[in-house]
This record gives sequence, C-alpha cells and structure tokens, in this order.
Amino acid sequence: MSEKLYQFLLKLYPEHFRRTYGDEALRLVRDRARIEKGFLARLRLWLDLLWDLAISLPREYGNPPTTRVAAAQLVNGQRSFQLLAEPSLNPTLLCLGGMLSAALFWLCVFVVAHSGRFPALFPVSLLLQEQAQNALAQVRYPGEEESPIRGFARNLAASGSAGQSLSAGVHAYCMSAKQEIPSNSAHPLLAFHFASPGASGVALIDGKAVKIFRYEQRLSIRAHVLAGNHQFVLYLERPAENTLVSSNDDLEYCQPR
Amino acid sequence: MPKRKLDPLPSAAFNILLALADEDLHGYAIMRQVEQQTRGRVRLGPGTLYGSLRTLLEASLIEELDNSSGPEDSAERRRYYRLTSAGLKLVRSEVAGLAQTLRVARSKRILRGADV
Repeated sequence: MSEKLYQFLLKLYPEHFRRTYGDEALRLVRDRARIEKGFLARLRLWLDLLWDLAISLPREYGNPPTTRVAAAQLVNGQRSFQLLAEPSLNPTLLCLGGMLSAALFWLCVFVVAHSGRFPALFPVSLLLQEQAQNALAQVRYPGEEESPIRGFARNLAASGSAGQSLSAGVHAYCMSAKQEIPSNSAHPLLAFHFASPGASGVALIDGKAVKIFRYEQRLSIRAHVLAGNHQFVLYLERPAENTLVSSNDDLEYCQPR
Repeated sequence: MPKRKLDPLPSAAFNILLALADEDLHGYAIMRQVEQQTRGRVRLGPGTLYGSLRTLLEASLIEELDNSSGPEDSAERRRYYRLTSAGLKLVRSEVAGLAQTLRVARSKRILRGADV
C-alpha cells in the first residue's frame, strides 16, 4: 500500500530523477515499510515521506543535473536552439501537486490545532508537561498555612461557577470522587470555560498529565478516577480572565484543611 | 555548479559523507547509518537522500561502485557509493571546523550534562 502510494507520488519528481533514482527510492520506501510496522511507525514514515517530498521537490526542479543539454548554442556561427532535455511539467501533475500541498497544509493546521491529542509529535507539549511537573514540585500542600493556591481551591469549592481570574502558573486543589468515574463518563470530571482567547497549559490528576490544551475556551477534563480523594492541578501558561468551572456530580471539592 | 550547491555543505550531504567514511554503502544503508549517527535526529527521505547523492556524485565527492566491485550481496542490484579522496578531505575539514566550534562552546560553558 505504502509502496503503491509512493510510486504515485514519485511521478511528481522530474523525469531525470525518476529515471536515475526512481527504482532506488521506491526500494528504500519498501524497505522502510517492511520494517516500520504498526500505526505510529507507519504514521512517522508517511510524515517523513511527505516532509521529504515538500523539501526535495522544489530542489529537484530548481537544480537540474549538470549534464543537461544547453538551450542555445552556436552552429556554423549562427545561434541555434535545441529542445531542452526536460519536458515541461504535465498540467495534471501540477494540479495534483497543488491539491497535495493544500491537503498537507490542512493536515498541518489540524494537527497543530489538536496538538494536545498528539503530545508525542510535539516536543513543545512535552516541554510544557515538564514545566508543569517542575512547577508542581514547588506547590505547598495541606499542613501548611493558607496559600493562594488553597485559597483558590476554597473559592472554587464555595462558588462553583463564579467567574475567576486565574494567574499564570500552578492551581492545585483536592477533589473527592464519591464513586469510580470512567473516562467515557457522559459528564467530564471538570469543565472550564475560559474567556477569549482561551487558555493554554496542562491539566494533571495525581501528578499525571491528562490534558494538554492550547488556546481552548471550553476545556473538558476526562479521566478514569477511583472513588476517593485526588489531587487536581491546572497549570496555565498565561493568566486567564473570567474563568467558569463546573464539575461532575459525583465529584466534590475537598475542604481545605 | 555543484561546488556552489555544496558551499556551505548541507547537513544531509555532510551526514552522508560521514556515513560513507568507513564503508561503502547503498542508499537504504546510508539512510540507516545517518539515523544512527545522529541518534534518530535526521532521517533522510528518498528525495533528499538521492538528490544529495546526485550532487555529491557531480562534485566527485563520492563515486558509484560497479555492481561487480560492490559487496557480495550486489546481486540485488543496489547501487553502492564510496567516498572519494576529495570527499574524505572535505569531511575532514568540516569535522575539524565543528571540533573548533565545540572547543569554543566548551570554553564558554554552553554545553551541559553528558555533552561536556
């Protein structure tokens, strides 16, 4: 399948490239496809191939081989013209290239817009997680005096849906599940509504990142939690104004001790 | 013309020359060797790989081996490539330049952890 698709894409390359390296390029894709099995490996293979196509196509058209026939030369003292060694690009292929570029563009837009769902593809997201974990290490928890974080938790517990201004950084609080809540529950554990342009950051439950979000206005946190107390942390990259929050009915905010 | 394409030496071309420094390889093996020597940071696609090989061939920095002179499994009709003396000279000079840069970076304490 991958080989056939790539065979089709090879037609986008200039004739001199296909003639000289077409079989080798196809063999390389075949070798990779034989070894790199599984969804993620295959996805990575195709991202590599499409990226390579976008990089190398313009170069191949811009740098023809040096053995190319000269376009004009002197014959018996007169300037004469010869046909170029390269035929002009087929209009169908040009259209195909245009469509492929548009498809690639929208694919990139989709993936970037949903970067939270593909953390492995985004080192920035991983960096964000690391940032959140580091910030988390600095959080002070029960047993200590009143802190802004616990104040936030208490306010959240008391008001439930009052609009709050959240500063950048870590917001942590305790929540208690009356019973086990599955990740596919009809109601999310927590739902945030951030004012425009939305918020960016990471949500963690018991130290584990469950959601990475970028400029999201409606943020739903879903995860499988067992009955009992859990630590919920919201790490925001920048301040969020007028934030509303609601929770699953089976979830209660723990009272600050 | 090819000289101009290789000045400065693109990363892909440099990695290919480096991969060929100690053995003759075919396209797929070059790709794997480059992936290995860059710890997976660089995975050459077919377009980049063969485009770079063509440029290096035109600049006589590498040469293509005849099937008969290639390794024994050349019955597969893979094209094997070998570094020429000019290619070896170029890769040495590039590596020397990088080593100098590395020395400067160390003296400025820019590197951290295992890279120091």
